[in-house]
Amino acid sequence: MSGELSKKAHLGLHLFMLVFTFLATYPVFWVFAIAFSGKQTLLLADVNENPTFLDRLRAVFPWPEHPSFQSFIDVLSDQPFARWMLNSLIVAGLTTVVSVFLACTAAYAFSRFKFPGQRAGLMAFMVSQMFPGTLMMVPLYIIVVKYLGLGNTWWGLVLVYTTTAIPFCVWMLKGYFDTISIEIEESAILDGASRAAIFFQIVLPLAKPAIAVTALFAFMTGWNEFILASIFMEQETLYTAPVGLRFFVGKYSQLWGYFAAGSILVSIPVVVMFMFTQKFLVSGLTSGGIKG
Amino acid sequence: MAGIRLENICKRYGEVSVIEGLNLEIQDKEFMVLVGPSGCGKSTALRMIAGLEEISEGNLFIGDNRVNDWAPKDRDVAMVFQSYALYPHMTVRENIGFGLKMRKMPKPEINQKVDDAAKMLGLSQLLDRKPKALSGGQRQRVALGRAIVRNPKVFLFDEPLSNLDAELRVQMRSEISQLQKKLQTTAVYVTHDQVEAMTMGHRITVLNKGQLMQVGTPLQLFNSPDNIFVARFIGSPPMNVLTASVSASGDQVEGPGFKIPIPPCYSHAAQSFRNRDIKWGIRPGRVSWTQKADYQVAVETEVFLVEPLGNEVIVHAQLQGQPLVAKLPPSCLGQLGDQLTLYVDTRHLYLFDPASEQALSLDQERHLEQED
Repeated sequence: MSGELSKKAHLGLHLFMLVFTFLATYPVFWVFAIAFSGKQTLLLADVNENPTFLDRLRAVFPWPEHPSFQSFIDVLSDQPFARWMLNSLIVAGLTTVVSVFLACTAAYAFSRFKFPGQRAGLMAFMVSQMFPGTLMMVPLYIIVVKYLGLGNTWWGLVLVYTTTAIPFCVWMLKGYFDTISIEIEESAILDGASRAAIFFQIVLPLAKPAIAVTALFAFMTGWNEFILASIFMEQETLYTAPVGLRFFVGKYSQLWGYFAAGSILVSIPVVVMFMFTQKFLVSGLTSGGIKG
Repeated sequence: MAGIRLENICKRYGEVSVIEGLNLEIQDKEFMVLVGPSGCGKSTALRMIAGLEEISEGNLFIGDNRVNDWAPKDRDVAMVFQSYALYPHMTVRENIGFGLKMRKMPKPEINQKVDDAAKMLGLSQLLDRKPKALSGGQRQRVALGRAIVRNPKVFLFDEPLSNLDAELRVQMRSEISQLQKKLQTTAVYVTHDQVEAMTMGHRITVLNKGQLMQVGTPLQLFNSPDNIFVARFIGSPPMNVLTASVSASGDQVEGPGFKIPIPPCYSHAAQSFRNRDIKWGIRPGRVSWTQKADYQVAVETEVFLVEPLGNEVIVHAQLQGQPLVAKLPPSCLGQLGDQLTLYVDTRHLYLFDPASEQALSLDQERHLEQED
């Protein structure tokens, strides 16, 4: 197909794509520019009262006047941002471990055993995904903070994030387990392997791609969540990174430099995890759906 | 080492009955083939012996033990699956040794046994490879290695060769036979391929719709089928079975276009069918196109399909509306629509009760010769 396009059409197509790529990435460049500007304003350049066209162009070009790391240094030293990142890491890490473990065992049961409520259970998981998160805010606050007394603790958030992440993880993993040939397990049964040995030594190693994708999803559930974290965590030292970020830009402060630098720092772990699981992502996301 | 005994085994899924009252005795060190068309229950029977399917009713003995309620791993059986069912994430060495590892055998001993098994199967060079780096035949050998390394009481094979190409299948067929002969382990082998059944089995069990049709050596099944099903299932092309009636005198079968004398071995049994319908059968190899002796009776047919196979020609003909297949020498040049006189070897006629489809009993041993 590529060779068939005329040169003109080719050029037009590329121009079209360039414009949209620019539009999509412009805000990201802006965040980077502000983070590296070392200033706390949203403006990258001062514009005088009668700006020329060049002045205007300079003002919208996402490049800081005096590039510096000052915002990064300050956000980590003057502000407790490192502490908040650590909180997020702990919460998201625990969420990942707990939900992946529980989802693996649950998905295996859904995939391999026949039991009353099997279909209903899967459907319930699916339905639970359809409600908007804000709907759960008040009941969750009452249950977790008032009844269970888990406000201002990591465990409160881990509990909520895990329950949020599990349904998707179970569906994802069940789809993958379904593609693993039952004969492999039967073969292991005859080889004398116990259920546990089959699960841990045969099924889980084979499901690595799906587990990697599931883990990434579970991690991001905990890492990015803002609303519940902001109402559960009242002590400043227990803030997670998204809550902390919001704290920089509020009624009384407009620390856009910290906000931008913090945003970039927050995205680093996810990008790293993504890079590790990238090779599994494609196979994991597709192979769950189709047989073979 | 142990024999296997199935006593009145039934398998039902809810209302659906897959196997009904199966009785079968497999001798120690015997190579028993279970054969039948798809859905006849042969794989289910095998999986019940393995312990992968529950037995709805009846008793299963391995050796002297009733093993109905034994876990698969306690039955000391090894199974080779159609899909090989290798562990994709383990090397060949780990695959073969997995069963021993699960049985908590010390590592040096496992390595020794794996090496021995690999040597026997010609896998020594491949021990560090993963299954995906092996060819189909090599994978099948690994599956065999996994079975033999444990030195089980019984080998179970579930259509192990059906994923292989034709040439490799012939080769693996003889390898499995030789392996079993060498190890002297009782083997139960499920297949739908009657050639595999005939070439590999000491004895063959033919199943149809969950019912036992006949058990016997390959030649017994070929020469003396108990019923029309076995007669047509064993042998290729299948035996011709035609409808006719027995003459008033009881010494010949008659139908439109043919009158064929009943061989002496049936003379008594045929009496009770005088003036009644009967089914008669003749193997395609016993139909020729030249008359060499007077026990060959001529029938007039019309050719409607000719399949030249090189060393022989399979001619599908119509005998007044009833199909008659003949295996003829390649020199036969029958063509579509030709009128062709074929000669039926009356010494090799088979008679069946049309209602029960059971073979009529013989008065005396049939005099059988090699096919010409």
